[in-house]
Amino acid sequence: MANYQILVENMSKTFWVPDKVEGFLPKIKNIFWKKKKDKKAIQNVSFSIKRGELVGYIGENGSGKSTTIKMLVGIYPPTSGKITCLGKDPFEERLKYVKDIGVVFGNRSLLTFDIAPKYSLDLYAAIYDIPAKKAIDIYTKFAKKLKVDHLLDVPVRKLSLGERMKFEIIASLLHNPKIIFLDEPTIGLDLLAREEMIQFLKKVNEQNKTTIFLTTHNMDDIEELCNRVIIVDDGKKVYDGPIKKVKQAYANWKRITIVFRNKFKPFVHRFPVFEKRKDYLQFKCPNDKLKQTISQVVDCFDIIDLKIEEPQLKEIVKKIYKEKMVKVK
Amino acid sequence: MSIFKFRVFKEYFLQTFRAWAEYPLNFGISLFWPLFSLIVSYFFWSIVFNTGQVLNYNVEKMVLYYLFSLGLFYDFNFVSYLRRKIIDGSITNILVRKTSLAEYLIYCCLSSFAIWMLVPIFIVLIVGLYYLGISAIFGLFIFFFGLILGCLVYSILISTSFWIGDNFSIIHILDEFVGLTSGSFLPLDLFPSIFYTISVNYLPFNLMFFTPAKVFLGDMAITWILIAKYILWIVALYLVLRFMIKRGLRRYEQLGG
Repeated sequence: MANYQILVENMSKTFWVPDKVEGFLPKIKNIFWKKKKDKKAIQNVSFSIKRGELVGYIGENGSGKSTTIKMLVGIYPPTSGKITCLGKDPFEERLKYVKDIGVVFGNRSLLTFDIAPKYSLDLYAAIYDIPAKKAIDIYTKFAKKLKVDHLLDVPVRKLSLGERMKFEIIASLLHNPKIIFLDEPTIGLDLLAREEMIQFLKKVNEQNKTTIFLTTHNMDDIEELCNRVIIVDDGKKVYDGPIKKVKQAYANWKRITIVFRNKFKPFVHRFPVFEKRKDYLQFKCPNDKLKQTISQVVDCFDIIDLKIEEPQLKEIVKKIYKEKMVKVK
Repeated sequence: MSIFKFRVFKEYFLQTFRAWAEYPLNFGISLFWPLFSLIVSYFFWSIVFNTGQVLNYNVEKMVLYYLFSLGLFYDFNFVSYLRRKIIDGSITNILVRKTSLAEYLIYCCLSSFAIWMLVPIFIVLIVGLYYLGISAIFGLFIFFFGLILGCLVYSILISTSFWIGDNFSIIHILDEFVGLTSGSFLPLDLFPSIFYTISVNYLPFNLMFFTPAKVFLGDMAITWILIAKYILWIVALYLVLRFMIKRGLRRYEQLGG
């Protein structure tokens, strides 16, 4: 087991959430003594991750991704089960453990809003005992790679979301962590910023063998960065394996949407139709038939708009449940 | 018990300073507010003392007491700022750093106080030296012990957010209580003897203002017993804070991203 950097065995997390009460007096009582009920955020999830792996942890909103990452970084303990990261219990040995990990929360900033990022990075250097000069060299080098070195002196509040996220990544990498946890790091980013960040993380992984654990609800992030994906739904693990296998088995089709003026000739196909109107057609096309189908669409329709989309995650999860084809590790 | 690092404190201090200095007008006015309080308390206590002597205080002593206790006020904004971090979950960003939450609260508190007290301490020192002589320096020296104690008291109050969530009203009431029993509202020896005895002998808060102010006025000497008292309370409150944070984090539930 020493081979694994992250080892999760039957991890569960139950939260208390307010319960609904009926009636006037119970509602008054509820103001002071809240009625609560259990909410199972994570249920018996197990997985293990080796050094240098790039793992995507994917699920819809509310599926338990952030809860998992918070337990993995030691913010709170699991209700049951066991987590061992870098040979330590993340919650019980938090201070010893966090010196070897980097964390980025997409919706929470590690940087101080009112001051320039370099000052926040100086603070991180002090916390992690990195000599000041060495820290400056490291963050300047990273900032150059991410093309934000000219922004080191600009207050965080004046940066765009993409620029801020780049500095968040730099802050998480300053102490050369063994594992980086990224919780929805691409949320709200434009395509260019997202691409730059993904390429940068890939390089970090290649050069330092840094393990990357990424949560997202965006399949594209996973596809570009990770070679392994863990899919969670409603707190349960539904798939753990190579991303390619998911694509082949469950995401082997595209959603094609056509908005058109006229039909030149009848469009003959045997694909399932999602929606059909007078000037609108949306259908499911297998990936291996995509080329010929598009060519047929161009022949048959006077097109105003044509959209080709990946299947949504919830559709993939639904299919996994329905077919139970891929064996969960 | 981890060792406090001056470099980390320095960075927190500089960060707090830079963040405040981003809003220079607010910052500048706030730094000099003891001067305004000095004027107000001079007029207030002049009127009170026109009716005669209040115990062993005269108008000059009372104004100097107020200059000390109100001038070196505790910036309450940081308490709201930090308790909000626990409620809205942004404290999670601190927990992923190689720093304990107890240390973080104390660093933030000391940084915040240090910035707000930078100018007031200078004013108190100059005025104190002019009117009271060397005891002003002793008073400020012992005040720094009280400052650490005050940081621990307020950090403990902040950590109650783990249990009660939005604890503004409770913190506000406790802040009033601390203000009263620390002597920052009124010298404790002007209160009834039972209140004085409890505040001075059984509670730590008098060590934040009343005791340093008495040393400042030259009414009390710094003894080893007094320093030992400070150290004992600081250690005890630090242990309470660590215990509360440990228990608080265990029950901390912050759902969602």
